[in-house]
Amino acid sequence: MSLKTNAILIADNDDVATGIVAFAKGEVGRYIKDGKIREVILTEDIPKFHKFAVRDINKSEFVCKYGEIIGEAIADINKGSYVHDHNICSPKVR
Amino acid sequence: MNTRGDNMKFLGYRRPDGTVGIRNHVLILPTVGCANETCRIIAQQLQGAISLVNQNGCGEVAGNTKITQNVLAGLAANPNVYGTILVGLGCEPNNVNSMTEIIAARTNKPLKALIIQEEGGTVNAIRTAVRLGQQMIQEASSCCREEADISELMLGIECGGSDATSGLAANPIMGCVSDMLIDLGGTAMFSETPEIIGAEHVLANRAVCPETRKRLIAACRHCEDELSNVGESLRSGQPSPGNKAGGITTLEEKSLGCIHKGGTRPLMEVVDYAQRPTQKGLVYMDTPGYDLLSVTAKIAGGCQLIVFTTGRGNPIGNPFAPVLKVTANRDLFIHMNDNLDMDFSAVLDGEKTIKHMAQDVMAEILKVSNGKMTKTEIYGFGFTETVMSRMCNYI
Repeated sequence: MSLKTNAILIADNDDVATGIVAFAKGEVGRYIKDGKIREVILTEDIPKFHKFAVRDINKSEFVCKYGEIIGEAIADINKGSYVHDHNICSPKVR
Repeated sequence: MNTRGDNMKFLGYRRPDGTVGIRNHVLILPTVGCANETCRIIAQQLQGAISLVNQNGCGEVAGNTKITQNVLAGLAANPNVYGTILVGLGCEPNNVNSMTEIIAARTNKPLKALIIQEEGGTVNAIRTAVRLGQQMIQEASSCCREEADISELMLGIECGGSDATSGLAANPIMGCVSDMLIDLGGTAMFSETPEIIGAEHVLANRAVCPETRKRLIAACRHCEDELSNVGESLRSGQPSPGNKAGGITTLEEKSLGCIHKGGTRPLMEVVDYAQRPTQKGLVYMDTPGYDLLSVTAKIAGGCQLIVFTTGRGNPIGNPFAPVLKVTANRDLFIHMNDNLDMDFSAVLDGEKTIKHMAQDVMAEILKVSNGKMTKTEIYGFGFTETVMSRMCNYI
């Protein structure tokens, strides 16, 4: 089994990683965090260059990529789930 | 090589105005579109001369004339230019006398001028200019490269023809390069205001002072107002359906991918279109997103070198400065190899870290600064590729 990474986490505190391949449900996403390879079992199909959650995210929590807020969860998102416009939106002004 | 400062020297051309060039061009500069063909023929006759297509210089409102003059003077003052031969027609508002004054106020590099109507037409003007140019090229080619510190470099960072790999790897790598260069005392400049909107607050929070912060936000508001005046909006329909299909979910995410090429260091200064910065470190220039135009503006602002990230492929170059083309899309690197200098895809594959790739870019920047030619230079792409901004139509 190859231990090559197949996803990228841009900043160590990001909540989402981006796959550099297309994933089928049940496959393992591998990315580097703090210099070590981390693994997440993907619970859904995820297209190439799309995002998956690397932790459980609660509804209304901010979602980070690039170490910055890119959106706000509009539903609870489980670790390993597909993250896109069905479950996050631009952060609302509070 | 490391990034602590050892061996971070390059061999450049010291100019009398204190700047350091990495190329040594003689510029044949048309003050007005009517002089373009004359300048093209002059530059073709002279090994080591460059020219550009100037669409402007006449039929302009005062605001546009000022833009034309700023860009032309900035290009003449670019450190990669040894000296300039100005060629005017004779009846244009942006005439040789005013351009001479404006250029001389910015730089004391060699400057000659002639006027087509006074010389007795195109052929006579070409004869005079070619002889002036021959002398200037003899002088220019007598210059020797001297050791200069990397802190003398002003790097322009551009992205165009982006795809998902641009925001994921190429721009973050360039952000790391920007940080490394700034930590060594150099300057990194990025621009393209329409593309930072949505993430301008992130950049504004890095502003070194309230004035710089205000200036950045004002540039974004001005850009949005200009568009709304003609019934357009940047925010509606963003991210585009193509962006979403490519994996981008929100405008914030799209713009963050873009501003990532500006790294993480404090934003020292926001400069107007084509203006030379007064500060070192990270500088933002307020330009449109049109690549030919924003590359031209950064070079007019003094950048000696441009690194250009792309994902879909982009062929542009520039007569004044090397344009180093980089991509993290391996298929593109193979498919459009004649247009690309560096392949960043090892970062996406996890074979190399962003930092290691950024160190490779720093090493390549030093080589290109020492004289190694980029593909755009070798093939002669970008021989006349300069574009200027306009505030309204011609008159």
